[in-house]
Amino acid sequence: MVNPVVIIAVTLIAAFSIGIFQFLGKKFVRGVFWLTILFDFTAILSIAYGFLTKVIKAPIMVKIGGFPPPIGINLYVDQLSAYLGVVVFFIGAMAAYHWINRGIDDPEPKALVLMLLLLLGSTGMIFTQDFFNLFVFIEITSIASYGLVASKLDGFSLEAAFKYIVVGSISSTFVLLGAVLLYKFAGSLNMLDISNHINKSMYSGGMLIIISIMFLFGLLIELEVFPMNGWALDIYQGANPAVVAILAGGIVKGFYLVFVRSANYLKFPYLLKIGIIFGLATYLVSQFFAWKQKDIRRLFGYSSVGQLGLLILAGAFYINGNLTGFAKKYMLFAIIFFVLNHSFSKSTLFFLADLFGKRNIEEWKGAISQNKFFGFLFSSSVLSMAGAPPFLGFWAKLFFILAIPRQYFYIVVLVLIGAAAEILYYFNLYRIASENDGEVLDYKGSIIPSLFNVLVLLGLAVLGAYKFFTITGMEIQNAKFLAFITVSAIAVLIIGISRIAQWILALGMLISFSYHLIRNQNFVSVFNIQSFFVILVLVGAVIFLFATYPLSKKYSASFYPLFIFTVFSMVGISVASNWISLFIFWELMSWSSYLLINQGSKKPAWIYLVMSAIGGYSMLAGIKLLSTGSNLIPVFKASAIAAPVWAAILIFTAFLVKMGTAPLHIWARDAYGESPDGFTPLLSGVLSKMGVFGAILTIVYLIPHISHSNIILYGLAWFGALTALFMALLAVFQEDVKKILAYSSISQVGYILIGIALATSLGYSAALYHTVNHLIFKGLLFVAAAGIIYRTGTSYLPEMGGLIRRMPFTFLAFLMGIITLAGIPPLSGFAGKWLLYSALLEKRWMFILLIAMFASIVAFMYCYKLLHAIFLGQLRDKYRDTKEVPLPIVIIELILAGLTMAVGMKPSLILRFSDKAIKTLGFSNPGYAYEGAHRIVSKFGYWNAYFMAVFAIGSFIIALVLFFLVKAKIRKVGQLDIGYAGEVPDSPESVHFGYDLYAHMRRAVRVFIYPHVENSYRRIYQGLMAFVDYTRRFYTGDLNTYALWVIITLSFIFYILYKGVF
Amino acid sequence: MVFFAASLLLIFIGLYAALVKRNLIKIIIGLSIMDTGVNMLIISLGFVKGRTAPIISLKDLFKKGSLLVDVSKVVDPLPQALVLTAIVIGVAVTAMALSVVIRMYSVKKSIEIDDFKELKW
Repeated sequence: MVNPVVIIAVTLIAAFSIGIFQFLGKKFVRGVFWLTILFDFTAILSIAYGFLTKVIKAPIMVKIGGFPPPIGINLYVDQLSAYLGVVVFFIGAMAAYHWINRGIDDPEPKALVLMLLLLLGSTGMIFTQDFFNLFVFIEITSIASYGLVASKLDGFSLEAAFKYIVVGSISSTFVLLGAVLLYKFAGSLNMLDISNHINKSMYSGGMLIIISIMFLFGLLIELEVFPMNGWALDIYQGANPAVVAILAGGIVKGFYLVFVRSANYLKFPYLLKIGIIFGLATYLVSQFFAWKQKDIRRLFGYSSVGQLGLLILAGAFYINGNLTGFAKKYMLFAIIFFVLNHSFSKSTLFFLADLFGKRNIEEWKGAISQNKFFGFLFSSSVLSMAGAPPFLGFWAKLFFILAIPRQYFYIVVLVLIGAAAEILYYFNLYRIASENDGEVLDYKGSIIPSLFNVLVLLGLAVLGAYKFFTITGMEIQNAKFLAFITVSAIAVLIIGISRIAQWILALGMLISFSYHLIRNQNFVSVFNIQSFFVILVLVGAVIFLFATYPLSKKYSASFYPLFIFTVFSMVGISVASNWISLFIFWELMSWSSYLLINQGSKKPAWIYLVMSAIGGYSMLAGIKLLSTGSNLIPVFKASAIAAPVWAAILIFTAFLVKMGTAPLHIWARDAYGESPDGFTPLLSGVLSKMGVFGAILTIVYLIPHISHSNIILYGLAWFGALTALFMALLAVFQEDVKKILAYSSISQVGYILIGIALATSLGYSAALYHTVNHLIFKGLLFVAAAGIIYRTGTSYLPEMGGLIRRMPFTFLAFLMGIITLAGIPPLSGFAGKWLLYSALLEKRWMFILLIAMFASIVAFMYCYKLLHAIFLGQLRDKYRDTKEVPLPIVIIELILAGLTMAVGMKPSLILRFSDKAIKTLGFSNPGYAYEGAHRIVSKFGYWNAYFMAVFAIGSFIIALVLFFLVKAKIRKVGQLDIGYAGEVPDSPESVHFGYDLYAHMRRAVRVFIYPHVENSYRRIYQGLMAFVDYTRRFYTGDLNTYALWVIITLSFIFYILYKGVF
Repeated sequence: MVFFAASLLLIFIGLYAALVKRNLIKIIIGLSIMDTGVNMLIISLGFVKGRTAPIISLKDLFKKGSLLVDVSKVVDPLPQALVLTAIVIGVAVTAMALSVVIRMYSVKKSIEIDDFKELKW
């Protein structure tokens, strides 16, 4: 271990020697610089390592000048300051490397001297235990930063530097005043000594309040608190990104530690109030102001300021929030994780922004899609910054939310709103950067610092997950499974050179995983609702993964890893044993599926992500409401929870978003329609079913325990019914095969929602049956559509037509899918309808029954349109040589077609499983009964599937035989061998009427298919944008105004103090 | 008390300049005045009427034969030590600010705030 004072002394000597001996040349200067950095870093790392391994047990106290503490200055190094020191020096080294590599504009020796002084100042600031000494180190840090900010010597950086100097001087005036007045008051400058001298009752006197506020207020200015942070944003925008990286990534964190620690020493009683007011205001305001920001550096600046606000809030709760034992621990880890996450990812983002060079985010088109490695670094940092699992930011946020006391629920809500706003603008940037059509742009300079940072970030993600699972004491299976998912995905990613190998490996993983699961006695013997969905996910995933093989050539190397990620996270959702682990896997699923959709089309993926974020965070808020003081991790146990209405509603929102229930459906059409064709079947067939699973969990475990549960269920049924109807109507007027299927999917999931909302055993039977059934036929249709698009190169229906002769197998399978979708016997669709209608009759929800029936009539229309526009009608010239869709797709089509036929004959193939699942939900019977082998009986009658199937197939065969008998008499007419309105058509297009097949109906239902909901969302978004654009003019850029806001804020604090608001 | 009021007055004058003046140099002057105000305040905190400076001089040695100072006769030495540091820091900040202004002038040929409002929103 090195004496901490040596670090400061060595750095100081090195800085001076560089200044004096710079004539010795560049090599000397750089050599001294790097040696110093290396020495400092190793020294501080050894101290931190000592703390980590518990070799150093107590905080280190260093006497300076031989005087013992209260009289002499002393350094005080504890765990947190040592760790923070490591971070500061690491980021400092990276920033310096980046800076030197990119070329320092200023004379290099001076810049390096300033850099050393900056690091020295911040180290001293973190280590010192003397208020006046603290002021000195703050000034050293500030002066070095002034110089570094100005070092670019252009208009921007000088302007930023001058603003910083003025506001910084005002800030240090307050710090100095506070320090000396404190000396006058307490007779000491030693922090510990003062802390021992004062107690909370002294604050009633008034004098100590003024002194403490002066001191802390000075630090608050440095912490870029709203409304006095205009200067900070200007620095982020104007200064050299290398300087900004170290300021935002390291130095500000030093100020933060000093602030929290001083408030703790001063026993400042109003810290919580101040933290809530200013922390929240800073966080929210910057997350929203960033929406309209076009300059990427200022955008990152807003984000940094926002994170600081969150940190202040967390620190205030940690010091002053009366947190109980484990909540305090959670909050501490939240703070540590926030700091680490922000330091490493934000500095990386600033480095990358500098390497790419473009300021305007519109010019970032193609930045990450064109440069793979750059893209990897950028994506990792952005994902971590936005709090995507399994990155560190996610665990930080989770710890933070769990640690906030229940009575501050509004803070949870506001923080989550801010987090969603953050995702919105970060991924707007990400959307632009991952756009494909941009010209090839390259970055300039070395990415080594960014690479180091991202490696640390990835390591920290593991640390975060490990700490989260160990500290919260959640079942170890969750952590193991998370690790398993990640390792699997990485394994698939590693062999990214060959798509075929990836496909085989992914398929092998899924199959062997399923095999092991089925071999597991526990899993088989306890068959419950969770097992039902696990099997659903795995079967669906294997089938759809198999079908992706011919399409895989188009996809990037990350397609299969993300596919595996999505599938396994859905398994994780299905086997989750409590709400938190469900949330973790839920977020994993949302983010990985977002990245998959983003490989298809960018804007729909963005909307999907924003909606998912709103859903996911509302779930988290709901879970927070469920957790009571001693029980932070609520499990699915009906008796354990007294659920507030809002908890159920908030949690339900997440599931409704995934199910695409109106009015939360706006993401669905384009996300389904434009996602990669290989992924859409999974999205529709399986992923939306996770919403179904969650809805069942909520209704079974939460809704019965709240008041007005009947009204809520009835309302849900209406949502389901209206979704079923309106989405079917919208599907009728689409002209894109995948978009018709998209609307159809949401509409069908609407039926499932009705079944769930019934909350009767027959209703659950209908819902579960239809869940599987929908997987079969919608999977079939989407897979077939993928094959057709693969062959024809278009998904636009009027471009197709007459493909029946080119793709007979696909036609056959598609036809069966359509029949199932329409719910016509003898295929599997009818049983679902029969069960649902019976259930509705049983509950006497007649209006909903009527709507459901009407919706299924509407479904006939788009079914026919699909079939007609793709396969019937006139074949186009360009498709004369089109082949049948690729073999793997045909295989999957036929398997699924066979399945729907088999289930149609024998619905008990599915019902057998759903019966078992329903029994574990607390029902004694599935709501219907068997009579004999094939006859299913409900209150309202019976239905013999086997007989129906034999009858229908028999009729079909008879008709077929008749057809072949008369076939000889048929005269075949060539495609264009016809007269049409007195003319002979010369091209197939002139007789194609697939376009706008239902134009005549459009007028009748215009008011229903007008995109009211989408337009309202757009208006809200645009309104918010306009509001943000207007209010962000608050940062006028005028120095006087910035200084004025400092004074106004101080007056505001004193005013509310005087008024006794505190 | 007089010192206290005077130094507060100086601080407010300095703040006023930083808030109102549009000329960069005047703002720096304001900051310096504010600095002086704070320094004066620090000195006044340690001041006790009728006491002498806490300085050990050779004259004392010859007169009393000892270097020890009678504590009851001098003012509090710590604020004076602090103020020395604060003055040095103030000078450094002023120097830094002035050099930045020189650079700003060479870029834009102006030292008016209105010409430096490009970074905003």
